[in-house]
Formats: sequence, structure tokens, C-alpha cells
Amino acid sequence: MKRAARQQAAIFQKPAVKEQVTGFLFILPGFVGFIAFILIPVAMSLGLSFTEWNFLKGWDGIHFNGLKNYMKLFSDSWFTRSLVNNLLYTGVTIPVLLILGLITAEIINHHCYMGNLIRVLIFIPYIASIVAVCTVWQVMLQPSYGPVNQFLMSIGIENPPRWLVDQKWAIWAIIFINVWTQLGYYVAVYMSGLRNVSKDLYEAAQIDGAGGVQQFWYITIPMVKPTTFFLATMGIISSFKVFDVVSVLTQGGPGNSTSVMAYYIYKTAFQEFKMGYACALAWALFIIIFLVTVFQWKFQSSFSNE
Amino acid sequence: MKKTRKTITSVTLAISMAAMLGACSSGGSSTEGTASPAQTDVSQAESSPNSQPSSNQASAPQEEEAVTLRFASWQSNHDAGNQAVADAFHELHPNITVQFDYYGDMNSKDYLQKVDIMLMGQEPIDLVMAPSFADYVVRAESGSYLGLNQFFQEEGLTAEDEFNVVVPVNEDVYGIPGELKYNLVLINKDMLDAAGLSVPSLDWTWEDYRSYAKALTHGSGPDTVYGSYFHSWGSTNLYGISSAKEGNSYFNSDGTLAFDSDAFRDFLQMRYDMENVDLSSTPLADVKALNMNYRDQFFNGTIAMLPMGSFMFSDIGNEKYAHDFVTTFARMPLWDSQDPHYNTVSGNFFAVASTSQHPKEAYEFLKFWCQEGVSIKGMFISNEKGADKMESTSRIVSGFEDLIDMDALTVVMQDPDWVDSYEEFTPSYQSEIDSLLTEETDIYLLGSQSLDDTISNLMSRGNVIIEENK
Repeated sequence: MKRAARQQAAIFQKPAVKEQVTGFLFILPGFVGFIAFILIPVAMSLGLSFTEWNFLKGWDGIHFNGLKNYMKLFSDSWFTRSLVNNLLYTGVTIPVLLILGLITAEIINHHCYMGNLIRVLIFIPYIASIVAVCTVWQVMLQPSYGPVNQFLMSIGIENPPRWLVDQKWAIWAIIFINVWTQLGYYVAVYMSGLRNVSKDLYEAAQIDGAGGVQQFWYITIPMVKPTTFFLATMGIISSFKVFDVVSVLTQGGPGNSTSVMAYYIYKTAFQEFKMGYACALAWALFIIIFLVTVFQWKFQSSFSNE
Repeated sequence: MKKTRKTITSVTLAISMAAMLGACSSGGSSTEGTASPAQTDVSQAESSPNSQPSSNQASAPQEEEAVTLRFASWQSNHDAGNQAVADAFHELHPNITVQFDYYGDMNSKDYLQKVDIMLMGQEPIDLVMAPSFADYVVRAESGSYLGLNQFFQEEGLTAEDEFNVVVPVNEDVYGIPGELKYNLVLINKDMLDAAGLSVPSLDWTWEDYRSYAKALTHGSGPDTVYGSYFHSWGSTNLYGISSAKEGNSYFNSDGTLAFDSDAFRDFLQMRYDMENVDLSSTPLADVKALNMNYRDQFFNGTIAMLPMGSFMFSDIGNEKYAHDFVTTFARMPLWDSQDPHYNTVSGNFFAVASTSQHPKEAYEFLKFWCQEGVSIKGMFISNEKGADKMESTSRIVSGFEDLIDMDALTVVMQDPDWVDSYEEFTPSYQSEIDSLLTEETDIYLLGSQSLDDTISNLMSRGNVIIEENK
């Protein structure tokens, strides 16, 4: 007995184990929160995705229906449309934001009078309430006498797109409004990234006779790669989850032409009360984001400078 | 080192899994625990008609006991009127107080989202509302409301004895449409006079409506005043069907979809032509692009005629929509002046929530609310058996009669050929059909799809929904 106790005490006195235990105790509060508020709900949603559940009916209303929800995904025109819109949205928004963000940051940093003021102006849409931003654009893009279409008509375009109520153009209007609101954030992050690029490199390049464009291409772009990687990863993840602009401006319409995954999940769960199918949609979205992120991490090494 | 780390991680994983399972099971049991009181409430309530003596004994001492009923409502603008009803009830039943909790701030959609989740979490609420037949039926079927027939039976009554419009679901009545709303057309009388037109007669047709709209349209560009306005709801497109037949406008009496009827096609075609050819009705593109509010449109005088409902009576006197023109009224147009005068009625439903702690008292108040309460509040048309529609209406508009063409209103409300038309059959998937209707008609009215395709899409996609819900 005594010996066993002594042995136990000895184990705890071993510095490595003691350290581990302390470490676990330290992360315990956060870990418990993670389990209770993230892990369990996630596991439950996976379970629910194999059921049919109108959540108004309470817990008794849950009926297991196997893979039916997942089979239904591919014959569901809202799902395919939402997925295509999401891919289009991400495929356009992120490159445009990265390119515009970097160029704008570079211009403000080096070639601009009152750069700070302009940076603040660009940043304002990002911190403004999204509902206010949407209301402004709703008026700007009003189809028959909004300023944008008035301008287009004055330069001779007879039937300008009807933007937010146009089946073909609505998604582009949404993409544009998002780029406009997000740009400030990208510029701000790129500007701090640019500050970390050593001045020596540019001086050396100047001595070697490199012009402005060459310096930008061969020094700036490679040196801000980590920033680009960070912005691209976070941007892609958040762009798959885009919801607010669609919900405020078009509610997925006209028809389903601007529906995106997050909006469709919300609509299925809280307007049609199909919780089981909504969970299946959420898992489909998760799998897509997961694959994209894995793909990105695989190529991370070629993005970092280390 | 690496090995120990591996074992440690696997151990923590195992622990976390165990914790998760433990939390899961305890979570399960705790929800059962919270569910059980509500369930016993239900079972008590259900057994009460059979065991009447014992329940009477039980309720006798309860009469002394003070009871506070919790009424979840979205009508925050009507708070003064609601309180007046609660006070009048309190005088009759001094032990019962009613407390109003407002959710959604006049927006019934937000209200439903919040209250649905509260009911699901078994929060004790006694009285709840629903804004339409479809919203009511979904919740009645899913067990959010208590059946009321047992309470009526206890008093030796039926719901049909007490109310004009009663909507049973699975042979029980779960809620009373206490505040009725009828469809009718509001017209800006000043514009009507300026155009030299007379107030439409009771047998006016959609053709008349169209020519009125043309005559009433004036101005150009952003200052255009349109003769007509159709709101962006999908159900607006059902006006054609509701003029032509009684009952639910989405479905025929045998449960098949009504979208292939001529009335539906003709109305859609007419609406499209009015918005795009005659330019006499606000284009749907403008309505949607600016999220137009029909109250603002009408009271700001940017439209002349608004097919809407009697629930707008009280808005005419609302300071929020201050205006100086007189509003006159017409019934919903007919297709043929010989057609019967169907008047589509909808209403705010009031129900006893399944989580109610005091179902008996809640029922008492519900009945009072839907009968005397409606006249005390004076905002809606009463559903009480024998109540006169014009009497309710005069109560609503008292105080601002100068803004209303009372003669025309009396003619409309006292139409001798009046037929109440309401949904006796509302399937739980009606809201899905409604969002499909909005989706497809939007595409047509915005000019990206032909009428034939719209109707065939509506029929085929609608039948898929019906099939799925069989």
C-alpha cells in the first residue's frame, strides 16, 4: 500500500507528467465549453441529418430516414443553384478582393497624398451596418430611376440590367456590393503586410535598375505571400458562409437566382421547418469548405516564405 | 516522448468522448424532465371532461388562487387596446391577470420564429397567435396548441355556436380567428374625383379595375402616380382565383392545385399587362427592388387603388401615416358582374399554447378576447356569432370618419349578396406551395419566363410537394 502510494506520488513529481496535468487543467474550462457548445451540437446535427424532423413537433417528431436527405440533395434545384452561386461568388469575390486590395494598399502606401484619410474612407463600408449598406445600394440600383441606371441610360444603354430584381444580374450585384464592403478590410491587412517588407530590398532593386512595376511584381507580391495566404483562406471560408447581404437584399430571389448555401439552410430550417434536411445541407456545406481548406493547406508551403 | 504524447491525446479524446456521451444522455433526460410537466398538463386537460367531478373539485379552490396568464403577441402597437381587454376580463375574474409579452414588434414572421422556438423549449406561455390559416394549421397539426373542443364541450357548447368562422384541424378546434380581415380595395377618393370617376359599384369587374387604373395613372419618371398597386406577396396573384371560387384559393375542393384554372391565368396575364404594357400598376421590379411598403405607397399618394384588406382601416387614422385625402372603398372586383360576391376572409388566430400552465383559465380568456374583447379593442372585425360587420367597422374608424367615405364603406360592408369565403381545408404544406408561388410568379412578372412555363412549373413542382407530403 505504502509503496504504491509512494510510487503514485513519485509519478506526480516527475516534472513531465506534472506539467502535462497542469496543462490539461489550464485548458479544461475552454475545453468543456468547446464540448458543450460546439462538439455536442455538431454531433447532434450529424445525427439529425439522417432524420426527418419538423422541430415544431418537439423531440417526438424525429423520424429516422436514412440517407434520404443526402439523396435528395442532387435533385433539389435550390441546392444546386445555391452551390453554383456559392462557387461563382467565391471564385469572383476572393481574387478580385485580393488583387484590388493589394493594388490599393500599394498605391496608398507609396504614391498617395492623404493616404490615411483614403484608407479610412475605404474602411468605412466594412464597419458600417450591413443593413444600412444594403439600403443605400437598393436605392442606387433601383431599376427604373435609380442613379446607376439613370447614368447608364444617359450614356445610351437603352435597357440597362435591373440589377437586384434581374434574374441574370442579381448575383453580380450581390458580388459587387460584397466586394465594395469587404475591400477596406483587405486594404488594411495588406497595408500592415507591406510595412513589414524591408526597404532594403527596394533600394537594392532600384540600384539594379528595376522600375516600379518590376519592383511590385518581383518584390512586393512575393513578400506579402503569407498575408495573401491568410486573406485567401479566411476569405474563402467566410465567402462560403455569406448570408447577410442575400437575406437583406433579395431573399434568394428572383426565383432562386441569388440563393446561397447559408441562406438556403436558414430557409429550410426556419421557414420550412425541415430541420433534418437543413442539417444534411449544412453537412454538405461543411464537406465542401473542409475539402477546400485541406487543399489550401497542402499548398500552404508554396505560399509561405520560410 | 512522442509515444507518451500519443497516449495522452488518445486518453483525452476518450475522456472527451465519454464526457460528450454523458452530457448527451443527461441532456436527453433533462429535456424529458422539462417536457413532462407540460405533458401532464395536457393529459390532465384531456382527462378533465371524463373526470368532471374531480376536476371541479380541483378547480374550486383554484378560483381563489391568483393566476397570471402569459399572452405572447406581436401587436405591440395595440398595447393600450390589449390592456383594456385584459382589465375588463380582470374585473369579471379578479383572480386572473393577463400579462402581454410582445415579440417581433408588429412583424408576425419574426414573432413566429421566436415563439416557435420558445414553445419547443417548453417555455410556459398560455396564449399565442398566428397570422393566417396556413400558419395556424401547421402549428395545430404539430401539437403547439391545445385542442379547444373539450373546453367547449364542458360548457355544453360547440365552437360553431359561438363563432362565424371556425377552422377545425383533425376534427378538433385549436384556435379561433378572433380578429377577422376581409379583402377589399382601398381607393384615394381625391384622385378618383380628379379623374372624374365614380366610386365603383358592387358588381365591378377586373376589366373595370384595369380601365380605372389606366385613367388614374398620371405623372412620369420617379413622380409617376400609378393607378394600381399589387404587393410582392405571392398570394397577391390569387385575387383572380378568390374572385371566382369559394374557399382555399391555392387548391380546388378535391385538394388538387388551382393554378391551372383560367381565373389564375387571366389574372396573371392582366397583372403583367398592367405593369408592363399599360404602365398603370407599380412594376413588381420597383416593388421588390425597394422593398416597398404598401401603407407608405397608399398614404403618401403614390398609388390610387390598393387591393388589400380591412386590416388597413385602423391605419387610416394612425398618425404614422398622416395624410389629408379621403379614402373610399370597393369590394374585390369580379370576373363577371353576375358572379356571386365571395369575400375572402382571413384572420388572426388565437390559441392556447400546449405549454400552458393554466389551460382552463387561458380558454376562458381566449373566449372573452375573441368576443367582447374584439369590440373593446375596436381594431378588427368581430367573428362572434351574430356580430354585424359594419358595427365592428364603425367602431374601428370612430374618431377619423372625416378621412373615410362612410357611404361607400357601408355599401361594401353591408353588401346583401355577401358570401364569406374562407379556407375550410388548409394542408400543412400550404406555406411551401406559397413560397413556390412567389418564386415562379416573380420570374414571370419580372419578364424572364413565359406564362405557360410559369403555370406548368407551378403545377409540376407543386405536385411534387403534395406527393412528398402524402
